Formats: sequence, structure tokens, C-alpha cells
Amino acid sequence: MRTVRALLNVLEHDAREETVAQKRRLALVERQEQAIRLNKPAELDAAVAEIERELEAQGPRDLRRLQALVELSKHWGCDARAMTLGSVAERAGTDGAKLGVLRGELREATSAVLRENRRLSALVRLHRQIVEDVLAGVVAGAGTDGRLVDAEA
Amino acid sequence: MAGIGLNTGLKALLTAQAALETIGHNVSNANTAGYSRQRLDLSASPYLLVRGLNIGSGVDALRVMRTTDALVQARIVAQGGSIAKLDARLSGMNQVQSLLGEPGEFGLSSLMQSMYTSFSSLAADPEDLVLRTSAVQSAVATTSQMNHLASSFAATKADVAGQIKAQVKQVNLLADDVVRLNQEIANTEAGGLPANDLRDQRDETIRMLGQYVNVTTAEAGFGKMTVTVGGRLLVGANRAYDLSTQTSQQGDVSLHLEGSTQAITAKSGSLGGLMAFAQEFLPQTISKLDGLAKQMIFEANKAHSTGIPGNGPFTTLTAQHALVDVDEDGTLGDERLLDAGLPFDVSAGVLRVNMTDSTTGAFTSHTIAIEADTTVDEFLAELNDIPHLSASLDTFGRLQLVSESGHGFDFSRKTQGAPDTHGTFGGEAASLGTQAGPFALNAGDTISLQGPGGLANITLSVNDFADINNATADELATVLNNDASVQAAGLRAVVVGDRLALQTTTTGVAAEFTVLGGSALTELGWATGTVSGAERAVAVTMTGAWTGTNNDAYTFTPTMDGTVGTTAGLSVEVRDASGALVTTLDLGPDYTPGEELELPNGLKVSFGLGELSATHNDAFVAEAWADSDTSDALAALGLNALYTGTSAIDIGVREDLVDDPRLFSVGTTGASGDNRALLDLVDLKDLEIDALGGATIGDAWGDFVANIGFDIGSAENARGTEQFLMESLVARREEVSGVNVDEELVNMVRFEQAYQAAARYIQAVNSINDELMRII
Repeated sequence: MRTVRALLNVLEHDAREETVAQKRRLALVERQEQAIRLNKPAELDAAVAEIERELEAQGPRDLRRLQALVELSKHWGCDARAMTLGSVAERAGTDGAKLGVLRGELREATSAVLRENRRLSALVRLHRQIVEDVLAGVVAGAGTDGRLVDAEA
Repeated sequence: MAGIGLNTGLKALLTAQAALETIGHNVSNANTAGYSRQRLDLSASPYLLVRGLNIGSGVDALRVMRTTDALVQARIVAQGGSIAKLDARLSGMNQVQSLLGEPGEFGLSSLMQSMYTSFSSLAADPEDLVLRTSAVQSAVATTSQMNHLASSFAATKADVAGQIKAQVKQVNLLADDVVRLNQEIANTEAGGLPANDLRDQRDETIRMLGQYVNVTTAEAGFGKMTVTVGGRLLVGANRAYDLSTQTSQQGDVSLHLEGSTQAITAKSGSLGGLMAFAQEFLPQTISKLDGLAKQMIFEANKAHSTGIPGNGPFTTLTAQHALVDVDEDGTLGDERLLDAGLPFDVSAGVLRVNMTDSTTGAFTSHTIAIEADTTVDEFLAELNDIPHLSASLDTFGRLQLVSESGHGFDFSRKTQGAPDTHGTFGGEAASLGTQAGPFALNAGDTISLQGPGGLANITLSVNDFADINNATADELATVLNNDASVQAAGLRAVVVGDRLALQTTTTGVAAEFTVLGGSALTELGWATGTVSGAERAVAVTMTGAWTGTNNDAYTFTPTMDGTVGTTAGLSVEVRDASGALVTTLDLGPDYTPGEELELPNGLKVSFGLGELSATHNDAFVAEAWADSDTSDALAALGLNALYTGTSAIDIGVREDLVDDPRLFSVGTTGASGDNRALLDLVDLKDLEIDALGGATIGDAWGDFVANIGFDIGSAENARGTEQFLMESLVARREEVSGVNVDEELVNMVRFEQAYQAAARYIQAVNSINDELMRII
């Protein structure tokens, strides 16, 4: 089993990596927003595809962090599910100081993504509704539904 | 070839938008054999002839533009309504926040802090009249601020009602404008002329309507447009329907449309915001403030009501709150005290009443048990049973207590200085105690006694006991004291806790009685024999103040017969109410009569010279009071209250107390320097109150202020988002106006797909980040 110090190193590294990932995520969310506002569907497609790739990289990071927390919980005799980076930093005392700082930066970055993502969500919902309304209206044509007629009749 | 291009765009649209019900229908038919050469007839637009085929020119570009523009326009109207609603709500919330004055010198937090500081200062020197005045005035300042807030909120509510009425007038004026424009458009277009300017005017008028209230529009033929609010017509094809307000007795305003008695809900627009503020935010704010004030009144009065004013016990008191004939049968006395319409809750518990002789300062304590079914009459009867005290209800139903001249009363937890009230612990009278009850007696059991006045023969009857097999000391004492032969024999029975003691009515060495026999003796712990009085009683003195958290009662019994301070091995066992041994006091040769001995929780006891008898079951009980009103009846009735009122609007400090700060009950004994009642008031600062969700009054207020700030912050954020959405809509409308229609439609289809994907990933990002936030 790894030492507490080694596990703290893992969590510090993970927090740094996660913060960078969150910043990339934020940029992608902002790119999507911009694409909608500028009426560029291809750009929206591209940003969405990148987000997809970005999210795929999340799994390994989550696993690595979980393993570190489980090992730490064994050192400290507590439930891994109840542990947070904040509680780890506090428990580790002076050794956890750096993790505490990194945790603050990560929290800020994650909050920013959540905030921006909520805004994007509202924007997508609104514009999607408009598009659906317009398409439904256009297709409805003069009648209630679009209808097919024989062109040669 | 806009039409063909459009058709191409629409094919993409039809393929991609299979989910759309109408398009899905077309797509499935498009692939059906026999339909290979079809065209899509979207409108009555002219056909184009291409390679011998009639191909529909598709959607008329202008029509698409109008459709698009109209839809975006409708969204803009709705969005404007959302922003106006938030603006109106925010304006009200900001007003409330500014009224709170937090943080600030005159905010309630600061005033409460000052009040507790003043109470603490007074606790250091309870007799100082200047400090008393300062403490009372700080309480007045706190309650005044609560009054100010409550009245300001009420005024705000009235202001909002006025604003709503003014805006309703505006809505009606705009509705009339739409009717006029409808008619002008119809007239103009009927003459074959375009009414573009008029339509623009009408759009603008409807947009303005949307600023006030959520409106929905629909074409009504002949170029006219109807406007509905909450599904009801505001503007019909030919007339407007009047929007009006109704105000309830509580000042709540509701909106009504002509022709319907049912209130309509303004979901957006400034009216929606004002209604939400008036119907939700403000009442909740007022309710929270009232709840806080009510708890402050109740808790402070609980502490103050059991205190003793600086000028000693009361001679008269009148309750603030009246009892109510809840069942309206014309009789108040039959109401249960726990449910007699008081503004605060009375619980089952006990109330201690102390009667003090003004001349000697000696006092006797009386305990009134308040049960769940105790009626007002029973409560009054219990009070009236206390010697020298008179209890009655005034014409308003308020309890009045008056003591006889030369006597005073209080409800404090002061320590009984001479707890051996009946002389059953080495007293001067001949005294024989029983073992602790209850007693398993039987019908027909007998007791035969020879007293100074003659023989007494008692036969016990089943009718004299609730359960003769579990006879209580009280019941047995009543039987003995009511027996004529016992009285004639010069004997009496007294109750000491759960024990009974039989005594001669005379004192001194000559006083004696003999237990002759009887079938009840064994169960009572008695044997036949003679009991004699003493020349001098053992003086028992209790001092100190009980610091235990619960009420208790200490029973003192000697372990053997002997003389205090002389007999080797003589000691006294002290047991608590549960019978557990608390301590054993050595009264043998090492004890100097009169010396104070420490008991747990702040009490001290001393014993004078004299004889004690374990054989005769000598005992006395000293009550230890942590809370002399566990029923909270005093606070509920408003007897010796600190605060008057029941809510933020009427909370105040008792007027006579403001006029004469000596009435401030700072102590629980009336002794100089006693500050225990005051300390209880200071402790309220940290008291976690269930009714406030386990928060202290200060914390609850802090949360209240913080929540308002949080609500405002949230509303500001929401407003920012709504404004951002509005800007995107405006940009959208401008973009749509300048693009190729075919391209736009294709873009829309692509967007529709991209939106679906984006929505999925928005959800995924949210989930992942929520989980991350949980473990950060």
C-alpha cells in the first residue's frame, strides 16, 4: 500500500490535471455558446464533438482519484465515500496544505464550468424551441400537416 | 431557383427531422412505390416547370421570413415579460433588504447584540439602577426595530398593491389600443392597402403589454389579433375585456378579467413580478420575522416570568393574554388550559408558587401539576388553595393573582431555606414516618392508635383510594386527617415526598402517641410502641442555588438513632427523586452542629443540635428546582413577562417595567446580588430553539438576512441570464432577416441535430461536475 505522502502526491497531481481539464471544458462550452449566437451549426457540431472526447478522458482520472481515496481511507480508518479533497487536506495537516490550495483552484474552475454550462443549457433550450417552432410552422404550410401530392396530376 | 434550393433544403429537413411527427409522415410516404415523382406542396405558391414537371416553388420566402420573425418576436415578448418580472421582484426585494439595515448600527443583529451585552453588564451588578435602565432600554430598542421592520413590510405590501393597481390601468389602456389598431388594420386591409405601419404599431403595443403581464396572441381573421392572459381574453376581435384587482381583508391583491370571477395568475411581466413579490416573498418574509419575534417573546418571558423583581415578591399580577372560551359554550372554566386560546403553548408540567411572609421573609412553596386535561377552573382552584393567594379571571378572561396583605408571591426556583417544613426530621412533635409509598393496603385494614387526646381506630375503605393496593401517602393522609377519632386523639398526618408521617399536634418531650396495632402496620413499616416528642427540634437549613439542569428532590434520612454531632456513626443518606444515593453526610462527633455541608449542584445543608431517629423513619424532602414552570403557563399567560405582544408588529417591553426598571426580574431569590434570571436571559443568546429549526435567535436572524441576500443574488443572476437570452434573440431576429431562406432552413435542421447532441453533453458535463463538486 502506498504511503499517505505518496497518495497526497497523486491527489495533488490529479487536482492539477483536473483543473486544466475544467479550463478546456469551459473554453468548449463558451465555443458552443458562440456558435449558437453566431448561427454556425458546423461550429457547434465541432465543439460538441470535442466535448465528447474531453468527457471520455474523465473516467481514468475519476478512477485514479477513487483508488487514492480508498487507500487513504484505509490508512485513516474512515469511509472513503465520505472523504473529500477538503477533508483530506485538513486531515493531512501541513502535508495537505498544497492540496488545499489546489482544491480551491479546482473548485473555482469547476464552478465556472457549471455556471457557464447552465447558461448554455438555457440558450440551447430557447433556440431549440424556436427552431422547432419554425420548422413545424414551415412544414405545416397552408394546412395542418405537410402533405404529398402527385406532381403529375 | 430559390424554390428548388428550398426543396433540397426541405428534403434534408424532412430526412433529419424524422422525429417531427408531420415530417415523419411525409418521409415515409416519399419512399413508397408509386410516389416516385412527387412534389411537396407547402403552400399555394405558383409551381415551377422543370423538365416537364410541375415542381412546387415551395415555401414563399416572405412567408417563411414572417413566420420566423413572428415566432422570434413572440419569444422576445415573452422574454421581455420574464425580465420585467425579475426587475419588479428584484426591486421589491432590494427594498426589503435596505429596510433590514444589515449589517449596520441600527440593524437588528447589532441591536440584539447590544441588548445581550447590556444584560451581561447588568448581571455583573444587578442592583445598579443605571445598568437596569440601560438593559431595559436596549430591549426597547430591539423590539422597536422589530416593530419598525414589521410596519415597513406592511407599508411595502400596501405600496405594492398600489403599484399593481396602477399597472393594471396601463394594461387596460394598452388593450384598448390593440382593439383600435385591430379595427384600423382590418379597415385598411379590407380596402386592399397594406397596413404594415399599423401592424408594427400593434406589435409594439403587444410587446408593451408583455412587459406588464404574460400575453398570448392569436390571429382572429381580417388582420385582427386577439390577446389572452392566462387563457382568458384580454382583447377580443372587437373589444377589450377589463382587467381589475380585488383586495382581500388581509391586503392581498388578486387579478381578475371581466366576465370571470376566478383570479388569473400573472406568470410574467412586471405584474407577475409584483404579484410574486406581494404574494410569496413578502408574506414569507413577514412570517419569518413574526416567527422570530414570537420565539424571542416566548423564550425571554419563560426566563423572566420565574424571576423576582428587585423590589421583592408580587402582591398583584394580571396576565397579558386572555383565556378564550374556545368551544363557545358560554363557559370559560371548562376549557382545557392547554387549549384555551393562548397565543403560546402550555404543556403538561408543574408550576411552583412561593408564598412569602412579608414580615419574616419566610416562604412556603406549592406545586401545581398541570395535566393535559386540567381545566381553567381546576387551575384556578389549585391557585386558590394556596393560603393567602387569590386567583380569578377578569372580564377579558385574563388571570389575576392577588395576595393577602402581609404576603407576597413569586414563581421562582429559590431554595427552601427551612426544608423540614413539618418537623418530621428530629422535630419537636412526636413523629413517626412510614417507609416510602405507595402502599399495598387492603380494604378493611386497620390502624389503632393512642394519642394525647384518646384512642383512634381507623378502618380503611376501598372507596378512599383510587387503588387501595397502590395507596399513595397523599390518599392515606387525607383518610387519617378526615377521621374524627384521629383528630380527637390530637394527631395529624403529613406528607413528606412519597412518605407519610403521623405526628402529635402538640410538641415537646411530653408529646407522645402509641401505635397499638392494626393490619396495616407492616405495609407502612410501623411497629407497635410509643413515640415521643423532643425538647428542641433539629434545625435544618438549606442554602445555595441549584445548578442542576432538571428539577429534582433530595430525601434525607438518618441511618441510625442518635444525637447530631455526638453519636458515633450517625450519618444522613441523601437520595435523589429516583431513589439513587447522592451522598452520605457524616453527623457524628466530627460534625459541628450548624456547619454547612456541600451537596451536589450548588446546594448546602446544615443541621442543628438534636435527636434523629431512623427507628421512627425521620425524613424530610428538599426540592431542587431548575425550572419552576415546566408547563410554560406563566409565559403563555404573560404573567411577569418581559415582552408584550405575540409578533413583530406588536412586540414590546412591558410598559410598567420601562417606567420602573426595578421591576426587571434579574434574580430568582430576591437576594441582593442574585442575577440568575438575568443569566438565563443572557443564555438565550446561545439557546438552540426547536421552533427555529435548532438555530439560536441570532443565527436564525442571520440566516434570514443571508437568505434574502442570497435570493437577491439568485434573482440578479437569473436576470443576467434572461438578459443574455434576450440579446441572443434580438441577434437571431436580425440574422434571420438577412440570410438566404433555403440556407437558413438547412441550418435550422443542422442546428436541430446539434442542439440534441449539445443538450446530451450539457447534461453529461453537469453530472460529472456535480459529482466533482461533491468530492472537492
